[in-house]
Amino acid sequence: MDSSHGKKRMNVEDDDRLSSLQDELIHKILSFIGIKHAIQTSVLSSRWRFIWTSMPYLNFSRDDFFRLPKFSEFVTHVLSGRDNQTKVSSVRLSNFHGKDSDVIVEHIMKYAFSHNIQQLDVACLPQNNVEFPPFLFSSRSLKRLSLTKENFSAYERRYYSSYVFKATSTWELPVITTLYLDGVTLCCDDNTDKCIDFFSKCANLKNLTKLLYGRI
Amino acid sequence: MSYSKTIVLTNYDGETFVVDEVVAVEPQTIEHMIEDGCANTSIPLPNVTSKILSKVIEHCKKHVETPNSNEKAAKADLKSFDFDFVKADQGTLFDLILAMNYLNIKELLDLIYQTVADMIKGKTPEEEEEMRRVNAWVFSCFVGVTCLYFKSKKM
Repeated sequence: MDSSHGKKRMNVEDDDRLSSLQDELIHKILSFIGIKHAIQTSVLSSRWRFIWTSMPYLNFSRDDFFRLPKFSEFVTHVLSGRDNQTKVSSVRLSNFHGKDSDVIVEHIMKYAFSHNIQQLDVACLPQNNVEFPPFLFSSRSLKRLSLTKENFSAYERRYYSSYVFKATSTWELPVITTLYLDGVTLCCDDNTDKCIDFFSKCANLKNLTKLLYGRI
Repeated sequence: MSYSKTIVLTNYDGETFVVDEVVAVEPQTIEHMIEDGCANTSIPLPNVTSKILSKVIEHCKKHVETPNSNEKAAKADLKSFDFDFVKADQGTLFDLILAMNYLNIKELLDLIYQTVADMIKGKTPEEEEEMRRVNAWVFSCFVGVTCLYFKSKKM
Protein backbone atom coordinates (compact mmCIF):
# COMPACT_ATOMS: atom_id res chain seq x y z
CA MET A 1 0.00 0.00 0.00
CA ASP A 2 1.58 3.34 -0.94
CA SER A 3 1.67 6.10 1.61
CA SER A 4 -0.31 8.74 -0.36
CA HIS A 5 -3.27 6.38 -0.52
CA GLY A 6 -2.89 5.78 3.20
CA LYS A 7 -2.91 9.47 4.01
CA LYS A 8 -6.05 10.04 2.02
CA ARG A 9 -7.79 7.22 3.74
CA MET A 10 -6.76 8.48 7.15
CA ASN A 11 -8.07 11.98 6.44
CA VAL A 12 -11.51 10.60 5.73
CA GLU A 13 -11.48 8.67 8.95
CA ASP A 14 -10.34 11.73 10.88
CA ASP A 15 -13.75 13.30 10.39
CA ASP A 16 -15.11 11.09 13.13
CA ARG A 17 -12.64 8.52 14.28
CA LEU A 18 -14.86 7.21 17.03
CA SER A 19 -17.79 6.46 14.73
CA SER A 20 -15.52 4.70 12.27
CA LEU A 21 -14.34 2.17 14.84
CA GLN A 22 -15.92 -1.23 14.48
CA ASP A 23 -18.92 -1.94 16.72
CA GLU A 24 -16.96 -4.36 18.85
CA LEU A 25 -14.46 -1.65 19.86
CA ILE A 26 -17.18 0.93 20.46
CA HIS A 27 -18.90 -1.58 22.76
CA LYS A 28 -15.66 -1.96 24.71
CA ILE A 29 -15.39 1.81 25.14
CA LEU A 30 -19.05 2.10 26.13
CA SER A 31 -18.56 -0.66 28.67
CA PHE A 32 -16.58 1.84 30.73
CA ILE A 33 -19.62 4.08 31.06
CA GLY A 34 -22.95 2.81 32.31
CA ILE A 35 -25.65 1.37 30.07
CA LYS A 36 -27.74 4.50 30.55
CA HIS A 37 -25.08 6.72 29.03
CA ALA A 38 -24.36 4.14 26.37
CA ILE A 39 -28.00 4.28 25.27
CA GLN A 40 -27.96 8.05 25.18
CA THR A 41 -25.42 7.85 22.37
CA SER A 42 -28.19 6.57 20.12
CA VAL A 43 -29.19 10.14 19.26
CA LEU A 44 -25.81 11.10 17.85
CA SER A 45 -26.36 9.78 14.37
CA SER A 46 -27.77 6.86 12.43
CA ARG A 47 -24.42 5.13 13.03
CA TRP A 48 -25.08 5.25 16.76
CA ARG A 49 -28.80 4.64 16.67
CA PHE A 50 -28.66 0.92 17.38
CA ILE A 51 -25.12 0.33 18.60
CA TRP A 52 -26.24 -0.08 22.19
CA THR A 53 -28.69 -2.83 21.27
CA SER A 54 -25.86 -5.24 20.61
CA MET A 55 -23.78 -4.28 23.65
CA PRO A 56 -22.59 -7.48 25.34
CA TYR A 57 -21.70 -5.54 28.50
CA LEU A 58 -24.51 -4.36 30.76
CA ASN A 59 -23.54 -2.03 33.58
CA PHE A 60 -26.53 -0.99 35.64
CA SER A 61 -26.27 1.35 38.56
CA ARG A 62 -29.20 1.88 40.89
CA ASP A 63 -28.09 5.51 41.05
CA ASP A 64 -29.02 6.02 37.41
CA PHE A 65 -32.55 6.81 38.54
CA PHE A 66 -33.56 8.21 41.89
CA ARG A 67 -37.00 6.62 42.02
CA LEU A 68 -37.35 2.87 41.97
CA PRO A 69 -40.33 2.64 39.55
CA LYS A 70 -38.42 4.72 37.00
CA PHE A 71 -35.41 2.50 37.38
CA SER A 72 -37.55 -0.57 36.99
CA GLU A 73 -39.11 0.85 33.84
CA PHE A 74 -35.65 1.64 32.51
CA VAL A 75 -34.41 -1.91 33.08
CA THR A 76 -37.47 -3.35 31.36
CA HIS A 77 -36.93 -1.12 28.34
CA VAL A 78 -33.24 -1.96 28.10
CA LEU A 79 -33.80 -5.69 28.24
CA SER A 80 -36.71 -5.69 25.80
CA GLY A 81 -35.08 -3.20 23.42
CA ARG A 82 -31.83 -5.10 23.30
CA ASP A 83 -31.07 -7.42 20.41
CA ASN A 84 -32.20 -10.75 21.75
CA GLN A 85 -29.66 -12.68 19.69
CA THR A 86 -26.64 -10.95 21.26
CA LYS A 87 -25.17 -12.80 24.16
CA VAL A 88 -24.46 -11.04 27.42
CA SER A 89 -20.79 -11.26 28.19
CA SER A 90 -20.73 -9.33 31.45
CA VAL A 91 -23.13 -7.69 33.87
CA ARG A 92 -22.21 -5.24 36.56
CA LEU A 93 -24.75 -4.14 39.13
CA SER A 94 -23.68 -1.27 41.35
CA ASN A 95 -25.22 0.56 44.28
CA PHE A 96 -28.10 -1.81 44.69
CA HIS A 97 -30.05 -1.05 47.82
CA GLY A 98 -30.84 -4.51 48.99
CA LYS A 99 -34.47 -5.55 49.39
CA ASP A 100 -36.21 -2.80 47.46
CA SER A 101 -34.51 -3.71 44.23
CA ASP A 102 -34.54 -7.49 44.63
CA VAL A 103 -37.14 -7.95 41.92
CA ILE A 104 -35.14 -5.89 39.45
CA VAL A 105 -31.93 -7.73 40.27
CA GLU A 106 -33.70 -11.00 39.62
CA HIS A 107 -35.11 -9.67 36.35
CA ILE A 108 -31.66 -8.64 35.09
CA MET A 109 -30.07 -11.88 36.21
CA LYS A 110 -32.74 -14.04 34.62
CA TYR A 111 -32.14 -12.27 31.35
CA ALA A 112 -28.35 -12.47 31.67
CA PHE A 113 -28.30 -16.12 32.61
CA SER A 114 -30.49 -17.02 29.66
CA HIS A 115 -28.02 -15.18 27.42
CA ASN A 116 -24.89 -17.06 28.44
CA ILE A 117 -23.43 -14.59 30.90
CA GLN A 118 -19.72 -15.10 31.56
CA GLN A 119 -18.93 -12.46 34.12
CA LEU A 120 -21.07 -11.07 36.93
CA ASP A 121 -20.05 -8.32 39.32
CA VAL A 122 -22.45 -7.25 42.01
CA ALA A 123 -21.71 -4.39 44.35
CA CYS A 124 -24.42 -3.57 46.85
CA LEU A 125 -24.80 -0.89 49.42
CA PRO A 126 -24.20 -2.25 52.89
CA GLN A 127 -27.59 -1.70 54.56
CA ASN A 128 -29.37 -4.85 53.58
CA ASN A 129 -28.86 -8.41 52.66
CA VAL A 130 -29.59 -9.43 49.14
CA GLU A 131 -30.98 -12.74 48.19
CA PHE A 132 -29.75 -14.10 44.94
CA PRO A 133 -31.88 -16.29 42.77
CA PRO A 134 -30.84 -19.94 42.96
CA PHE A 135 -30.13 -20.28 39.23
CA LEU A 136 -27.07 -18.10 39.76
CA PHE A 137 -25.37 -21.06 41.37
CA SER A 138 -25.96 -23.53 38.58
CA SER A 139 -24.78 -21.61 35.54
CA ARG A 140 -22.94 -23.42 32.77
CA SER A 141 -21.46 -20.25 31.28
CA LEU A 142 -20.35 -18.15 34.27
CA LYS A 143 -16.56 -17.75 34.40
CA ARG A 144 -16.18 -14.96 36.91
CA LEU A 145 -18.32 -13.98 39.85
CA SER A 146 -17.61 -11.08 42.14
CA LEU A 147 -19.80 -10.08 45.07
CA THR A 148 -18.70 -7.03 46.98
CA LYS A 149 -20.04 -4.14 48.97
CA GLU A 150 -19.81 -0.67 47.64
CA ASN A 151 -18.20 2.18 49.59
CA PHE A 152 -17.45 0.00 52.50
CA SER A 153 -15.21 1.59 55.09
CA ALA A 154 -13.43 -0.42 57.75
CA TYR A 155 -15.89 0.92 60.31
CA GLU A 156 -18.90 -0.09 58.30
CA ARG A 157 -17.44 -3.51 57.63
CA ARG A 158 -17.54 -4.22 61.31
CA TYR A 159 -21.04 -2.99 62.02
CA TYR A 160 -23.08 -3.85 59.00
CA SER A 161 -24.23 -7.29 58.16
CA SER A 162 -22.80 -9.17 55.26
CA TYR A 163 -24.55 -10.99 52.47
CA VAL A 164 -25.83 -14.27 53.72
CA PHE A 165 -26.20 -17.18 51.38
CA LYS A 166 -28.43 -19.86 52.69
CA ALA A 167 -27.36 -22.63 50.44
CA THR A 168 -28.83 -26.06 50.53
CA SER A 169 -26.64 -27.53 47.89
CA THR A 170 -23.24 -27.24 46.33
CA TRP A 171 -22.65 -24.55 43.74
CA GLU A 172 -22.59 -26.09 40.30
CA LEU A 173 -20.53 -23.70 38.24
CA PRO A 174 -18.48 -25.98 36.01
CA VAL A 175 -16.56 -23.30 34.08
CA ILE A 176 -16.05 -20.70 36.78
CA THR A 177 -12.40 -19.73 37.18
CA THR A 178 -12.52 -16.68 39.43
CA LEU A 179 -14.62 -16.14 42.49
CA TYR A 180 -14.26 -12.96 44.51
CA LEU A 181 -16.35 -12.66 47.65
CA ASP A 182 -16.08 -9.68 49.94
CA GLY A 183 -18.25 -9.54 53.03
CA VAL A 184 -20.15 -12.70 52.23
CA THR A 185 -21.25 -15.28 54.73
CA LEU A 186 -21.94 -18.75 53.49
CA CYS A 187 -24.12 -20.83 55.71
CA CYS A 188 -25.86 -24.13 55.48
CA ASP A 189 -29.56 -24.71 55.56
CA ASP A 190 -30.96 -24.37 59.09
CA ASN A 191 -32.76 -27.68 58.85
CA THR A 192 -29.70 -29.79 58.30
CA ASP A 193 -26.58 -29.91 60.36
CA LYS A 194 -24.52 -31.11 57.47
CA CYS A 195 -21.77 -28.85 56.30
CA ILE A 196 -21.67 -28.27 52.59
CA ASP A 197 -18.57 -28.13 50.48
CA PHE A 198 -19.75 -25.25 48.32
CA PHE A 199 -17.01 -25.32 45.74
CA SER A 200 -16.53 -29.04 45.13
CA LYS A 201 -18.40 -28.87 41.83
CA CYS A 202 -16.53 -25.85 40.55
CA ALA A 203 -13.93 -27.94 38.74
CA ASN A 204 -12.14 -25.08 37.00
CA LEU A 205 -11.96 -22.69 39.94
CA LYS A 206 -8.45 -21.20 39.98
CA ASN A 207 -8.75 -17.97 41.94
CA LEU A 208 -10.81 -17.80 45.08
CA THR A 209 -10.65 -14.63 47.13
CA LYS A 210 -12.73 -14.32 50.21
CA LEU A 211 -12.46 -11.36 52.53
CA LEU A 212 -13.88 -11.18 56.03
CA TYR A 213 -16.54 -13.30 57.63
CA GLY A 214 -14.56 -16.40 56.85
CA ARG A 215 -17.17 -18.93 57.80
CA ILE A 216 -16.86 -21.28 54.88
CA MET B 1 20.14 -7.37 30.64
CA SER B 2 20.95 -8.81 27.24
CA TYR B 3 18.66 -10.78 25.00
CA SER B 4 19.96 -13.41 22.63
CA LYS B 5 17.35 -13.22 19.91
CA THR B 6 15.95 -10.29 18.00
CA ILE B 7 12.84 -9.97 15.88
CA VAL B 8 12.34 -7.66 12.93
CA LEU B 9 9.00 -5.89 12.65
CA THR B 10 8.01 -4.26 9.39
CA ASN B 11 5.30 -1.65 9.65
CA TYR B 12 2.71 -0.05 7.41
CA ASP B 13 5.21 2.38 5.82
CA GLY B 14 7.70 -0.39 5.11
CA GLU B 15 10.07 0.72 7.88
CA THR B 16 11.75 -1.99 9.91
CA PHE B 17 12.15 -2.11 13.66
CA VAL B 18 14.59 -4.51 15.29
CA VAL B 19 13.47 -5.51 18.76
CA ASP B 20 14.47 -8.14 21.29
CA GLU B 21 12.28 -11.20 21.21
CA VAL B 22 11.22 -10.82 24.84
CA VAL B 23 9.89 -7.39 23.99
CA ALA B 24 8.29 -8.49 20.73
CA VAL B 25 6.26 -11.29 22.30
CA GLU B 26 4.49 -8.93 24.70
CA PRO B 27 1.67 -8.46 22.18
CA GLN B 28 -0.16 -11.77 21.92
CA THR B 29 -0.59 -11.48 18.15
CA ILE B 30 3.17 -11.41 17.58
CA GLU B 31 3.72 -14.19 20.10
CA HIS B 32 1.30 -16.40 18.16
CA MET B 33 2.98 -15.51 14.85
CA ILE B 34 6.34 -16.59 16.25
CA GLU B 35 4.84 -19.78 17.68
CA ASP B 36 3.29 -20.60 14.33
CA GLY B 37 6.64 -20.17 12.60
CA CYS B 38 5.54 -17.13 10.61
CA ALA B 39 8.43 -15.06 11.89
CA ASN B 40 11.49 -16.39 10.12
CA THR B 41 12.46 -13.19 8.40
CA SER B 42 10.38 -10.27 9.57
CA ILE B 43 6.91 -9.80 10.91
CA PRO B 44 4.71 -7.61 8.75
CA LEU B 45 2.40 -5.27 10.66
CA PRO B 46 0.58 -3.55 7.82
CA ASN B 47 -2.00 -1.93 10.06
CA VAL B 48 0.44 0.00 12.21
CA THR B 49 2.21 3.28 11.38
CA SER B 50 5.76 3.93 12.54
CA LYS B 51 4.71 6.55 15.06
CA ILE B 52 2.32 4.11 16.70
CA LEU B 53 4.65 1.14 16.40
CA SER B 54 7.45 3.00 18.20
CA LYS B 55 4.97 3.90 20.94
CA VAL B 56 3.89 0.29 21.23
CA ILE B 57 7.51 -0.90 21.39
CA GLU B 58 8.27 1.75 24.02
CA HIS B 59 5.37 0.40 26.06
CA CYS B 60 6.38 -3.24 25.71
CA LYS B 61 10.01 -2.44 26.61
CA LYS B 62 8.97 -0.64 29.76
CA HIS B 63 6.76 -3.55 30.82
CA VAL B 64 9.45 -6.13 30.11
CA GLU B 65 12.19 -4.18 31.83
CA THR B 66 10.24 -3.44 34.98
CA PRO B 67 10.95 -6.31 37.38
CA ASN B 68 7.90 -8.46 37.89
CA SER B 69 7.65 -8.08 41.62
CA ASN B 70 5.12 -7.09 44.18
CA GLU B 71 7.19 -4.08 45.10
CA LYS B 72 4.97 -1.07 45.52
CA ALA B 73 7.48 1.30 43.94
CA ALA B 74 7.81 -0.76 40.75
CA LYS B 75 4.05 -1.13 40.42
CA ALA B 76 3.45 2.58 40.99
CA ASP B 77 6.14 3.44 38.46
CA LEU B 78 4.53 1.23 35.82
CA LYS B 79 1.12 2.66 36.58
CA SER B 80 2.29 6.24 36.19
CA PHE B 81 4.08 5.26 32.98
CA ASP B 82 0.82 3.84 31.59
CA PHE B 83 -1.14 6.91 32.61
CA ASP B 84 1.36 9.20 30.89
CA PHE B 85 1.30 6.87 27.91
CA VAL B 86 -2.39 7.41 27.26
CA LYS B 87 -2.14 11.19 27.67
CA ALA B 88 -2.03 11.55 23.91
CA ASP B 89 -4.06 13.51 21.41
CA GLN B 90 -7.29 11.93 20.21
CA GLY B 91 -5.91 10.94 16.83
CA THR B 92 -3.08 9.03 18.47
CA LEU B 93 -5.49 7.40 20.91
CA PHE B 94 -7.63 6.04 18.08
CA ASP B 95 -4.56 4.81 16.21
CA LEU B 96 -3.47 3.13 19.43
CA ILE B 97 -6.86 1.46 19.86
CA LEU B 98 -6.67 0.00 16.36
CA ALA B 99 -3.05 -1.05 16.77
CA MET B 100 -3.46 -2.48 20.27
CA ASN B 101 -6.57 -4.33 19.20
CA TYR B 102 -4.71 -5.81 16.24
CA LEU B 103 -1.68 -6.69 18.38
CA ASN B 104 -3.84 -7.82 21.28
CA ILE B 105 -2.35 -5.98 24.23
CA LYS B 106 -5.26 -6.19 26.61
CA GLU B 107 -4.13 -4.32 29.69
CA LEU B 108 -3.23 -1.17 27.86
CA LEU B 109 -6.37 -1.37 25.73
CA ASP B 110 -8.52 -1.27 28.84
CA LEU B 111 -6.75 1.87 29.97
CA ILE B 112 -7.24 3.50 26.56
CA TYR B 113 -10.92 2.52 26.49
CA GLN B 114 -11.28 4.08 29.92
CA THR B 115 -9.55 7.24 28.70
CA VAL B 116 -11.84 7.58 25.68
CA ALA B 117 -14.89 6.81 27.83
CA ASP B 118 -13.83 9.61 30.18
CA MET B 119 -13.70 11.97 27.22
CA ILE B 120 -17.28 11.13 26.42
CA LYS B 121 -18.76 13.95 28.40
CA GLY B 122 -20.52 17.21 27.97
CA LYS B 123 -23.08 18.22 25.42
CA THR B 124 -25.20 21.22 24.44
CA PRO B 125 -28.82 21.78 25.57
CA GLU B 126 -30.05 21.20 22.00
CA GLU B 127 -28.50 17.77 21.93
CA GLU B 128 -29.98 17.05 25.31
CA GLU B 129 -33.44 18.00 24.09
CA GLU B 130 -33.04 15.86 21.01
CA MET B 131 -32.00 12.92 23.13
CA ARG B 132 -35.02 13.20 25.37
CA ARG B 133 -37.30 13.29 22.40
CA VAL B 134 -35.84 10.19 20.74
CA ASN B 135 -35.46 7.99 23.76
CA ALA B 136 -37.93 9.44 26.20
CA TRP B 137 -37.86 6.41 28.44
CA VAL B 138 -34.19 6.91 29.28
CA PHE B 139 -34.76 10.49 30.29
CA SER B 140 -38.00 10.18 32.15
CA CYS B 141 -36.07 11.04 35.27
CA PHE B 142 -33.26 13.42 34.64
CA VAL B 143 -30.26 13.03 36.88
CA GLY B 144 -27.39 15.10 35.56
CA VAL B 145 -27.10 13.23 32.33
CA THR B 146 -24.00 13.38 30.34
CA CYS B 147 -23.69 11.95 26.94
CA LEU B 148 -21.23 11.01 24.38
CA TYR B 149 -20.69 13.87 22.09
CA PHE B 150 -17.32 13.32 20.75
CA LYS B 151 -15.90 14.18 17.42
CA SER B 152 -12.19 13.88 17.14
CA LYS B 153 -10.37 16.82 15.73
CA LYS B 154 -8.40 16.63 12.56
CA MET B 155 -4.89 15.50 13.21
